[in-house]
Amino acid sequence: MMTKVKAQGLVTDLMPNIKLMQAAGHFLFNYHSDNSGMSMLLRKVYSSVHAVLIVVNYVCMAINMAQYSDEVNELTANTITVLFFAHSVIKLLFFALNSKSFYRTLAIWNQSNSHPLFTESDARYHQLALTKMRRLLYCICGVTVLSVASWVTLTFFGESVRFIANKETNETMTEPAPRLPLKAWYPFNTMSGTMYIAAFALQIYWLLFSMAIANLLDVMFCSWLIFACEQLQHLKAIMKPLMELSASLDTYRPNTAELFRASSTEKSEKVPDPVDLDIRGIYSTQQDFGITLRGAGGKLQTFGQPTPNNPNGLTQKQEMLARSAIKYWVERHKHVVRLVASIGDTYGTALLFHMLISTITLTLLAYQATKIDGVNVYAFSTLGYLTYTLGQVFHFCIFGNRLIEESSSVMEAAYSCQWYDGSEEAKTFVQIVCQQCQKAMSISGAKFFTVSLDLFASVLGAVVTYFMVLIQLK
Amino acid sequence: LVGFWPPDNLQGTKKLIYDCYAVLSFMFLQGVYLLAQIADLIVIWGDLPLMTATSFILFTNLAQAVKFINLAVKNKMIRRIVNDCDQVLGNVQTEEAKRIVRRCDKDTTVQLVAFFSLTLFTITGFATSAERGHLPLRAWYPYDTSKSPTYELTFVHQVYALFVSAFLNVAKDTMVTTLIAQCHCQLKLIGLSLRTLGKDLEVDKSHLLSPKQGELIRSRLHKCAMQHQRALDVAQQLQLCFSEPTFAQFNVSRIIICVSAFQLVSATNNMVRLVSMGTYLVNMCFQVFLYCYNGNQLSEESSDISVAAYFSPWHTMSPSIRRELIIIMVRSKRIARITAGGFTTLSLASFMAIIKASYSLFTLLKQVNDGD
Repeated sequence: MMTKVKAQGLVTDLMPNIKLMQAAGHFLFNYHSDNSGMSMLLRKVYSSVHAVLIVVNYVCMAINMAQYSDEVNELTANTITVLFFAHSVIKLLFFALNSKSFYRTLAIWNQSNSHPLFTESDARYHQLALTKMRRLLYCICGVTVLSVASWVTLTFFGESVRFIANKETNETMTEPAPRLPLKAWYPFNTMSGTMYIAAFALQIYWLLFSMAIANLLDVMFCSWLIFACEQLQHLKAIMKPLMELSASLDTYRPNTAELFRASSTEKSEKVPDPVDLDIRGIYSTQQDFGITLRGAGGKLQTFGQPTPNNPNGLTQKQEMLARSAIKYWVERHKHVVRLVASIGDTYGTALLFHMLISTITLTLLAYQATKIDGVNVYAFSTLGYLTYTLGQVFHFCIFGNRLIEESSSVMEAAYSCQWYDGSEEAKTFVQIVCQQCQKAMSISGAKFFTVSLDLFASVLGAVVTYFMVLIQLK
Repeated sequence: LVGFWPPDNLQGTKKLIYDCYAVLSFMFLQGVYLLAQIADLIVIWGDLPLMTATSFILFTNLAQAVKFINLAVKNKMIRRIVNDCDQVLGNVQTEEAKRIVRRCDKDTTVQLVAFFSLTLFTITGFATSAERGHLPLRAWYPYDTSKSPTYELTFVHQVYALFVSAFLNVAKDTMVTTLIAQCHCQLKLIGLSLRTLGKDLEVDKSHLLSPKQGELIRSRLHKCAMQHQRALDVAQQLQLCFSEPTFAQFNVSRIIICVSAFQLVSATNNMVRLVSMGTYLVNMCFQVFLYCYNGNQLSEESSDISVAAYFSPWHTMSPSIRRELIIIMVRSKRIARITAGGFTTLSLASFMAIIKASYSLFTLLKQVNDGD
């Protein structure tokens, strides 16, 4: 009997995504509010039933493909469909086998450090990340539903036939086939009647759930990347005040009081009475470091005498504040590096499989595209497959690219602050950060390739080249 | 056992006798084979399917011969590398470090076992796929091989040579790849000690180290730097020792993979032969993959030293210690790579390139053959 696990950090942010994944039948059994044995069993049964249905229908499609493999066009079309839905089956299995590392990645951001001077910036970028993640989720859900709807609508247009190769005359004939969204072999006759309606309903369910399974996992991956990018933005934003704080430790600065001012919009912090300055020594909350509200700012500089080591007359508490700010920055950056490493470990292999299958699918689709001869069902379905597959690849390439850009721009942010006014400590800080951030953090598909827009461009270029060559050969 | 790796304490005349034994053994196994197959190749020049049937084993043997010569020549250097690595990896103290060494060990053992079993499967397939009256592999002999005693002798010779040379191949390759993996393990240990530079040191509330703690960190850092230098030195020596044979191996593999794929596609009469050709193809790919995978691991780990240094509590250190850390980070920016003869680095990207090159050669070969 597991105790209630409070959802925090990344898990809270991704809760809608997680709930949707649980509804779609992924083997995601954590993060429920109720963990009694009975409901766990029910959930396991639910997921298993979905898994069985999906795999069985997939196998039926594969059998159909093997049955009608004589005629080239029919075989190509069926292969494309089978490969297209291989993503869903692979992602379902991948998640089931790898759920531990997914949980670990989600739990990495359960505790994060905080600093009184930077909470406002932290909250702002966190909110930005949240908005972007939600927007992405809605967008992809909309696209999935739209694709399923258009697929089902397209079924009712055109002739519902399949191509058979006549062995004697060596030409292709058409044979009537059931008007279903997917060509699959069923052990019962689906030409008309109740069986037809049952098969149709099964296929609509199957389309929706398998597309949802594949897409939701991709959305989770991209949401992680969005989160990491926003954290890096936060770190870049606080680099300048950090440098100034660090400089104030041993260089005279005229407006040191400004630096130690936190914006007072945080209602959650307990605010000590600004007049009663002695109380601050007793409090052990975050207010302990001598944060003042606007109005009492100027008093800070009267607290100590300027000494060679302390030209701005900072109190010991303020010195600690400045040093702990550097510690906060470094720890937060290390946290992001750990998160990105974990994301890469968790999802890299899935990306490798995705790219392998997509490459083969796109090659076949380029071949199919050369046979388009007018605005008909065939054209729409081929173009639909093409856009969807390319869209999937584009989806994670663009976020992977953003991560690469953000993480290497941290170095530029470090350089562009006034490091030349800083202490030896500040300068070596900038040096180490520049060294570390020169090599951008990237997600690699199990070390075979890097996920970036270069990858997408090479895939697109290969498809177009192949298509052109085939057109020439015809 | 077969005369290729003299035990440590052979001296004087014993060594001479051992060397002669080595040469004889080599001649018996490889030399005869090579000559026979080269002769066959000359005889059937122009007939593509037959040529591919001969050449796929011929090239492997060529590569083997190169590797063996390399081993004989650079014996002392290789022995020194092996002993050094042993010493370093055997001296680990902490529990975490022991765990890393054990995991690296397990990885290399898995690779060895996989390679070994693949080879075993392939060779048994070959040996049993011989048709009645024919030899398992095509070769030209100066005598008629279909008559009774000569047929048996040649058959036995071929099978014996096949088995032994295949296992020798496995042994040689895994030796190189395991040495690379051990270097990778050394770098991992250095990464670990960099990450735990501030172990057991309580930092006070000013977030700075006291001078005494600073000195302790400095001495630990110096030890790390010395280990780093030693590990990079090992990588350099590996590069010197094994660059040329790896180059030969890669070039030969390109041809072999293409030729085996061609054989697989064209020879469809014998089921067992088909299966064993398939496993031979997989075996060759796996051989190249082992080299590239371990080289890739080494390169990655050497650039991870910088990340490990970043994960140490450097924000608590004084600027002078930070500067020493920076020097380590700067050095690790240039990755330690093993190259094949200076042309290609061992990495997963070059593995993909080799597979692509073989595939293009294969399609070309098919076109030429279909056109004939």
